[in-house]
Amino acid sequence: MVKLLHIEWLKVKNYKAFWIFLGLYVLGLFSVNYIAYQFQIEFKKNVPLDIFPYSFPKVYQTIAWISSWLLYFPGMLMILIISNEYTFKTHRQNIIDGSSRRQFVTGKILMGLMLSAITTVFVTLNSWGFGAAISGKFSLEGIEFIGYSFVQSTCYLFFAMILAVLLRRSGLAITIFFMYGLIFEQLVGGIVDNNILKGHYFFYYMPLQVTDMLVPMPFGGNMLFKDAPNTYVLLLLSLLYISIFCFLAVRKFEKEDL
Amino acid sequence: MSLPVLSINKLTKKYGNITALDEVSFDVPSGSVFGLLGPNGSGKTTTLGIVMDILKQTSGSFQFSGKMPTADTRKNIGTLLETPNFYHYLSAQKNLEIAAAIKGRGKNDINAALEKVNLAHRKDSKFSTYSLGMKQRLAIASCLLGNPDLLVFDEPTNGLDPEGIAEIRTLILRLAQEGKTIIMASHLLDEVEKVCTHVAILKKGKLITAGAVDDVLVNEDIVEVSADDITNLESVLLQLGGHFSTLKQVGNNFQLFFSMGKANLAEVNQHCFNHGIVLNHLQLKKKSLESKFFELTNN
Repeated sequence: MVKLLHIEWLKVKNYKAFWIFLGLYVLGLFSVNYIAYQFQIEFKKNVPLDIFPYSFPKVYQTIAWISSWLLYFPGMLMILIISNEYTFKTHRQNIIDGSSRRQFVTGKILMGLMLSAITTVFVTLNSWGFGAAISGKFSLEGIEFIGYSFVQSTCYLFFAMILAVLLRRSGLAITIFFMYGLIFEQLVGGIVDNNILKGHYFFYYMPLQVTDMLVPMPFGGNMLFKDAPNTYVLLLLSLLYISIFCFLAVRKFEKEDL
Repeated sequence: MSLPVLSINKLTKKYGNITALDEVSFDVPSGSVFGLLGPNGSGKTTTLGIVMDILKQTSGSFQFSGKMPTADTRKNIGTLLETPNFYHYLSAQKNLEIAAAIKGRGKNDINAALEKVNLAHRKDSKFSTYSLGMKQRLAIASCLLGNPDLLVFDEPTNGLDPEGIAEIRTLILRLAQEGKTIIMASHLLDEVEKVCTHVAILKKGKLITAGAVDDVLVNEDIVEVSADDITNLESVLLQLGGHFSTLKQVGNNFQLFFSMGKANLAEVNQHCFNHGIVLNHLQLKKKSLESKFFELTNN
């Protein structure tokens, strides 16, 4: 495991574009929350409502939810580091040099977990920073949303991974990733639920939506997702999707011509 | 006799209804320089791709030194397959560090490998800035990491200038002298002729022949003769005895096939003259390997 991560590290260590992208993402995580926080201040001047509560204990959920909108960016990074291998044919060279096919794809899965961990670390740091600055104290109440956020980002990243492994080309994979996540999941889920099943039976169980519901909007989330399955079911389904994405990636990479 | 370094058994690869490789079998003897020869699209790279686990065979099998292949087997083989594959945004040095890490070796022999292919002075330049020839040489340097006993080169002189081709040829011969086994795929007969001890010839996915170069690509001297009296000439030539292997009539000429260096024009002339035939045409022709190759791949 350590050896596989070391090899992946050598691949990105001197990859400038990767670090610039990652730096901008981390900066974006703070910025988007700062914007939401400023919006909250302005909003509260007119309406006495906490739409985006940045004080403990709600800050964990707020920041996890706001940050989840940026998950497309580490997803793009994930697609980039996989499609690079196909573009440079280094996925072949790694195997020729003595990686097993499974080791190669495991390296990418570990990279996905690393990116997800980086996201989680910065979501946590932002939560503590904003929380402490606004509440004037420190609290771990509500920190379970950091855990849900980790599951959510892992699911997004592994979804990006499976798209990259299946499509091989970064442009196509990134387009489909955005289109599916932002439009088509809702569209297809909505059509099936409203026209065929006449109830919330399908949309809530789709791969990205199921993790989105682990981290609902802090204000009005419960109203929006009526009849949502309970957290344990959501967690279990999220982990199931994560496992399926890993299994498919490994299987595709092990069975086919490279 | 020691086990063959690589033994390929009825290897078949199909893409839909196209058969890229059709039950190909051959052995690569230890210490040989083994040429895999064939025109473009004959299945050379497909064969090596399967052996390197890049492609999955439809049927058939292969063994390295009698053992079933694993990823660890490949760590001790230096392979250049088809094109040099490196991370464009990394330097030569960093790229080789990745290859060394995968092979489970330290960075110690990276410099030596780069020096062997004359790239040491450009080791910190990005791969994307390299010329085609430099990329090819870097790929060969990567093969040399860890001093493997088996090297696989697919079109190793691709993209190199004449000087580079000569350098690589010298390098291959030197590696062979060190006792390494080298498998080299090429469509350049000349290349195979100059460095290989053994050869397998592929055509449209089928193995045409395999064996020692001297047996497969026999060189022959051809003596072409003609005389006014064609009918008598034939019978006189036949009396020349067991010096030649075949007698062939081509138009108004006869061709006598001798093994290489055995043709003696004076002897042929004298023999005919002694039997009352005056030759009006006498010529020694060297049969080129190229025509032999075309003969093998066209039938």
